[in-house]
Order: sequence, then structure tokens, then C-alpha cells
Amino acid sequence: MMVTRIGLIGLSGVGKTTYIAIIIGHLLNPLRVRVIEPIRPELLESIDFSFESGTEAFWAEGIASIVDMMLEGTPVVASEISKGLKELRVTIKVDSPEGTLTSEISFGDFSGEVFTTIVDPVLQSMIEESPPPSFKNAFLSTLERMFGPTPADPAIAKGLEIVRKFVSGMYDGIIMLLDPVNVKNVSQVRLFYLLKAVGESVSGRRIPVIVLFTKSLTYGIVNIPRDIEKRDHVQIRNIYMGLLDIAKTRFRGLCNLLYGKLVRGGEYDLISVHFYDAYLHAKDSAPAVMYDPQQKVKYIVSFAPYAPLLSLIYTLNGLDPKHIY
Amino acid sequence: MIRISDDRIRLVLTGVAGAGKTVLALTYFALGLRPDESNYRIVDIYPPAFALKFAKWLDDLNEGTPPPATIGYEEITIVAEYRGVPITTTFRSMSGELIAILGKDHSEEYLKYLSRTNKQLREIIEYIMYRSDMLILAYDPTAFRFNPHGKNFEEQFIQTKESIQQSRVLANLLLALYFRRSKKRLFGRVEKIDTPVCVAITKTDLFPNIRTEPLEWLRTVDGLLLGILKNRYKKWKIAPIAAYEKARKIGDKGYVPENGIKPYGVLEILDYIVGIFHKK
Repeated sequence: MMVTRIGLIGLSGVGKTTYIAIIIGHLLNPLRVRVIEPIRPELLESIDFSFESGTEAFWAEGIASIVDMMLEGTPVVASEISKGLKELRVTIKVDSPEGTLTSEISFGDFSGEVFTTIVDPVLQSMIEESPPPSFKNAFLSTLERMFGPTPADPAIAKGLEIVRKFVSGMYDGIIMLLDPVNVKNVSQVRLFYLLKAVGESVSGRRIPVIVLFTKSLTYGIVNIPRDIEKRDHVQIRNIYMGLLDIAKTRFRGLCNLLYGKLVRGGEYDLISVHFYDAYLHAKDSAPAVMYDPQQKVKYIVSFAPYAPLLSLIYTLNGLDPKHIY
Repeated sequence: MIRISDDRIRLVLTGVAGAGKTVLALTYFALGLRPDESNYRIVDIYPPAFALKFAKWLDDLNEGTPPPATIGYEEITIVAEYRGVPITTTFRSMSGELIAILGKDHSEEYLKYLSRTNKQLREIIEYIMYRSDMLILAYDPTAFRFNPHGKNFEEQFIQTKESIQQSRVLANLLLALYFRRSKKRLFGRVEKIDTPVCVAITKTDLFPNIRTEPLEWLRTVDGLLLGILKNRYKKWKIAPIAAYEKARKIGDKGYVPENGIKPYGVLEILDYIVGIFHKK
């Protein structure tokens, strides 16, 4: 079985924990977390998953409690540094033209708090005038100098561990979540340097990257028909295909520094840029909760959470991601 | 033209404190984030601490807060491409001590003495010689006292202690570079050197009339500097520039652009550079 390590990165508040909760929440109970997807319905049906042995109860309860909060109409709060670091490992099986793809996926949730607590202070203290021969080494040695090898604060210690792992280039693919409206220049620069450090660790291979704009419907960035839930797959797919180009153009315009790093830097392959929203019909960050009288269950509807993930899984297995639609 | 590096053009930009180097670096940074408009695309920037500062300033500027008048740094390097041509620009500050020493006097003996004995001067000259293809000098017109009722440049721009210091510093720097490069006599008739120099007159949004006659302006306010350029350097340019199209002063906190960063003349400097080094 191929083990595929997928790193999720994004700054604080962008919705990384929500994204994982939506995907796993849907797999745990598709009545409570429903999805509108451009991917082929049979592909969606074929997805099977299991937690890493021994972690089932922890994650099932943890994700269920996040979904419970969503169904109360409560936005998911930013992961605290200590909570966001326990890596979620799942085995996902999905159909493909080459047969069933089985991937053990490790979602490294690079908590946004790690940026403010660790990455930012390190970058801010890198004031040496000349470009270092190795940015990654300069970054790691500054990290070491500032925090020491074993910090007393367990939260910081865990944060350091995930930063070191991330920078070591252990992930096979990266999903980078971005806010489609509030991409501040500072955010872009922070992510740029992180990608720069990771890029130096993977000489000889290129890391596939998916960019994912969160909250796209809530912000009105994406206009989709109000009755999208009633449309058939072909219509949804056609609408979504039009959005892919818009998303890429938006990424290039908003984040040119990152775009250049991912497209021209030589260390990464920008596979595609996607719009997604955790909550269809939401007016702000609070989930729009609906009720199904037949099933007697509250539910939320999420727009296109799987398309980016499956695009990356297909790519990592050497398949053309277009086959997912 | 012999280039220091085969793969990219390297520029060093320097000037006295407050001449506008930092805002110019910020301007290039801002342009580099919008390559579709500017054809200038940032590939990398060092040190990270200043990239974060610049990014924050741009975010703040979008909300109407001016960047600080100046910040302490030794060197900021922007690795970029302009119209597809790789260009690395290093914004290099001069220490207050070096400025004071260079601004003290302007004589052959004094400069010869400094070239022999002053480590900081030797360092910056070697830096320019070995790490750059071209020198850009930021020239601050606000160093002069401005008389709005003056009928011509001479009456409008009144010499001050600061303007005299700026003139001496830049003139001495050019002469010291010439001296090292040519190994010839400092004064008297000698061969010109081929290091291109651009004198970037900054902050011209405050004095738009400089833009129409930059050469005449420099001739009037700083004949010493213009004379060195004419007599010692083969390629030189006077470029009036501004980071902002229109700016207003916020008390002592510096200037804030009224319409964001819309630079004047900044890309023209790059056109000049690309024209020199990438002639087909």
C-alpha cells in the first residue's frame, strides 16, 4: 500500500481544521455532512476510509464533536497549537481507471498558530544582510538558536516538531488553503518562506501542490446557482470546470509571489487551484444548518471539498486528475 | 560591457540616510507583487525580516497608515525579473559614521587619505566593484530648503548643511570608486570608467518641476556631482523618481500616498539598465 503524506498549510483562521472535519465528517456520516461535488458520483460513492489503528475512537469522537458544533451553528474555532498537531492518519480507498487506489494519508495540520508562535518570530529575527547559501539551514539554525532543542513548553515543543518535519520535506503533496479575500501581503510572505525552506529539502523531485480557496461562496467570490443542490452532476461539473480557471487567475493576481514560487521555482508543481466552501448558503463564518424532516437530522452542505483532495491523490498516484470529474 | 555575473544584472543602490532608499525598496517590492502591471516580478527577497516588514507596510498603506520614515538595515536584496531579464538589486545603507566622514571635506588629499585608511569606505567601494554591475545613487531634493517663491531652480533650492553633506558624500563615493577602478590620478584629465551610474532624484512628487528638467536641476544645485559624472564616467543617467504619485505629510510620521504606490520613473531606471546590458 502506498503511503501518501499530505500536508495542509494555511494561516490562522483560514479553515484547515474545518476542511479536515468536513471531509472526515462526511465519511463518518454523510447524512450530517452532505456535499455537492463536481467529481463523478460513482467516484464519490467509491470512497472508503479507515482511521489508523488505535486512533479510531479518538478521531471519530473528535471529528464528531466538531461536526456537532457545526450543526449547532457554531463556527469552528482556530486550532490551538497543542490540539492541531496530533497527526490524523487515514487510509482512503478510491476508484480510478487503474483500479482501486489505496492511500494512507497523513494530514499534517500545520496549525496557523504555529506561524504566529514559531515561524514568524524566526523570520523576523532573520535580519542577516546577505542571502545565505541555504535558506533552509539558516531557518533551522535560527529556530534552534531561538527555541533550543527541547523547549520546556510542550506546546512550543510540538510546534517545533511539526515545523521541523514540514521543512524536512516529508510530505509528498501539499494542500495550501487560502482566504480568497483577505490574503494579506504578510500572509503571502510567510507562506513564501515556508515553501522556500521546504523546497530546498526536496531536490530531485517536485512536490505537487493544490491551492484551495476557502469560504468562497460566503464571500460571494463564486457565483453558483441558488438551486445548485437540484442540479445534476453534469451541470455541477460544468459550472465547476469554469471556476477552476477563475480560481487560478485569482491566485495569480492575489498571490503572485506564491504563484511564482509554485510555478517557476522548480521545486513544486501547481496542479490546480480550487474554490471550496465548508457551508453552502452561509452568510458569515457560522455554518448554515438545515434540517431533513424525512431523516429527522440536522445537516450542513459543503461545496466541493473532495475535488482538491482527489486531484492530489490522483496526481500522487501518477494519474491525470481530470479523470475525477 | 563586462558584467560581474553572467546570469543576472546586479545593482547596488545607496545614498545618505533619509534619501529615500527604503521607500524605493518598498516600491520595487510592491511592483514585484503586481508583475502583470509592472513586468517586474519578485523571485526572492532577503532578509526575511524586511520582507515581512515591507509586506506589513503595504498592508498598512492599504489601510492609510504611512510606513515609518526610515528603518535601520545594512542591506536588502531583491531578486527579480524585469521584462524577463534577471535583475538583483541590493539596497545598501551607509553608516552614519561613513556619511559623516565622507561629508566632511572634498579634496584630493582628503579622499586619498580616506581611501587608504578608512575601512568602511574601502568595504563599500569593494562591494560596489565586485558585487554590482551598476551603481544607483539616491539623491534627496528635500535636503535643500525649498523656497516656493523662487523663479528658478537656483532661487527655489537653497543649500543647507544636509544638502552640502549629501553632495560631498556622493561625490566622494563616486571619486573613490573611480580611483579604485581606474588606478589613475584622482583629479585632472583622465580616462573615464565604464561603470554605469544612475543618480535617482527621489521624492519628486513634492517637486514636479524637477521632472521636466532633471539635468538642469542637478547642474544648478550640485555642479560638483554632475561634473564628476561627466568627466569620470562613460555612462550615467539622471532619473527623477517618486514612489508615490501624490503624497501628503502626516505630521512627523512621514508621507502617505494619496493613491497607493504608483511610482514615477522607477521602472524607467530598469529600462535604462536593461538597455545597457541586454542590447541585442
